[in-house]
Amino acid sequence: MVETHSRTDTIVRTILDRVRESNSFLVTGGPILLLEVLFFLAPVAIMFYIATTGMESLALTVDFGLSNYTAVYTRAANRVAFINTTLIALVTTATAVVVAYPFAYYIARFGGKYKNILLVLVMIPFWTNYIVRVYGWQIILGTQGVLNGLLVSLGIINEPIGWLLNTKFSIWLGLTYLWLPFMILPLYTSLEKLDESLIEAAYDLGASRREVFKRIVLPLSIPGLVGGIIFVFIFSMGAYIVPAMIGGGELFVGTRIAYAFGIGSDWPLGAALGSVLMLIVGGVLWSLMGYTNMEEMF
Amino acid sequence: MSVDATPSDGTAAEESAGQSPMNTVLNAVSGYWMPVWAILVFGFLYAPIAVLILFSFEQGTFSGFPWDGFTMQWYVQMVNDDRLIQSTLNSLYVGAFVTTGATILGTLGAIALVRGSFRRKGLFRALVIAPMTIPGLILGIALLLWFNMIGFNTSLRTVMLGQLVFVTPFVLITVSARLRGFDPELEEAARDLGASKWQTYRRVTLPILMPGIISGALFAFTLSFDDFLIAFFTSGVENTLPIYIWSKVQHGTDPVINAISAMVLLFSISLIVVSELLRQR
Repeated sequence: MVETHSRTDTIVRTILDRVRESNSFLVTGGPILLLEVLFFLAPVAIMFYIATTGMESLALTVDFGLSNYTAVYTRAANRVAFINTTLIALVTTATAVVVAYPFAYYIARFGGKYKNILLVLVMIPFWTNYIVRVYGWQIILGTQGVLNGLLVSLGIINEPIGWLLNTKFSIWLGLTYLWLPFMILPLYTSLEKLDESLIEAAYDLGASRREVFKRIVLPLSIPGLVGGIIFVFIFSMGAYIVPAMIGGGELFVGTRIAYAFGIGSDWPLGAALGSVLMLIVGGVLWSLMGYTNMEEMF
Repeated sequence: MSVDATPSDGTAAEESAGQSPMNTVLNAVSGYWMPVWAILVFGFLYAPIAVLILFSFEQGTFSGFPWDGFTMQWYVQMVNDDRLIQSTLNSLYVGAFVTTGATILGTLGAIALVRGSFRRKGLFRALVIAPMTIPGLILGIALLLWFNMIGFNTSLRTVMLGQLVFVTPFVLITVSARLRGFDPELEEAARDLGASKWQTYRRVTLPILMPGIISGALFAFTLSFDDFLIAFFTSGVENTLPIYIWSKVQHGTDPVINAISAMVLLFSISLIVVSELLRQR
């Protein structure tokens, strides 16, 4: 009798504990979960749905079909936009790796007591409004801009260079500039954690600099590297400010989407473009997320 | 061989480590190219910012060489621009709400993520982190469609909701890093000594988390204050500062934008300095 009593007691306590635990989860994790479900998951899902509808004289019509999705591929402007965007995003990501890696490595290993100051110096541009910074490039790169003016007055060139602004070049430059801190910071975090003694041991055992890099530094920096690649590639794919401000008329996914929601007033097509972009973004996240740790990145 | 932390010592140590002349040369090059590279990267990062500040003091209406003379007139024009003042106030108003909301939700979420033990934690983690990796453009149009569908009129209020979606994960990440770094036994000790769950949170957990929470809050404010894409699609007819700057930029170069940029930069610098001082405590 006593035994069964204590047993029911334990069961009751376990149930109570469970309830209390789920309660405390509802309090702590609940609000953010609700927010992200209502205003992140639902809107994205709706975007995929709206893409299947039509639009007539500024009102959505219940005219289901996949024609908007197929228009992403069949309409030349959209297809070219996706090809341009993907290529530029790939080149931008590669450039960011090449530029950021030695930089992050240098600060992480040889920054010494200046490490934190140098890191803050990286973060200041990152925290400054990006429209403003892209506008700065507009002033620098224009035909009558600062750079051309400087080069002409120094006698290095006679005629201003025309392809600096409003070309694929300026999109590439602008995107590399804008997302570079997203590559530097995760790389720095990885490289900073790297154990000095591993490198010393490798040298002591006769490894060359190249071998040390290939077999120790690089593998141990993979989480930061992949994290940076995810950010730079995804943000370049979804860029709007840079192609709109300094991209001239180059076809780019971001500007196509904004056009569809603006003057083009074809929301379903814009939603379809956004959905395809979302699938690419999701695919990149899905395949690369496992190699990094987003929570320890910044 | 030992690599000292200071740049010069590191270089010297590496040079002396080289055995063959070839290696010495290589080491010298590799010892020096990295600091040069670092300086170039800093130059790249600061070039547009420096140019903006410089030309905010230039007399000519066109921001380019030759230099026409020093002036403060663009700053005077800026201060007298009513629409600019209004949009700045709007941005501060939105920023205050988003910062408060994101800080509370993000801190609670971090506690759930780090301390909680529940099934489907992986799913929870993915759902609360993913919004910060999604391009603002996608989130902006998705929210526009969603607000339109559920019948929310777009205004500054919808901007706040939209910004909360991607700002909260950044706070969560910042706070959870701090949370991971502290010993849960401190909490257990407080409970053993008779503190209630709430008392433990208030007297033990919260004070330890404070630096993380404050730097998360500053991060949140900056993200909200700088956000253009969410606001662009979900603000209706109302302006935030980035939208106002955007509309000005669309009309071509205007030195007043340089003056605004200089102020925005100054503001960001002061925020980040405060944040970093707190983080390093």
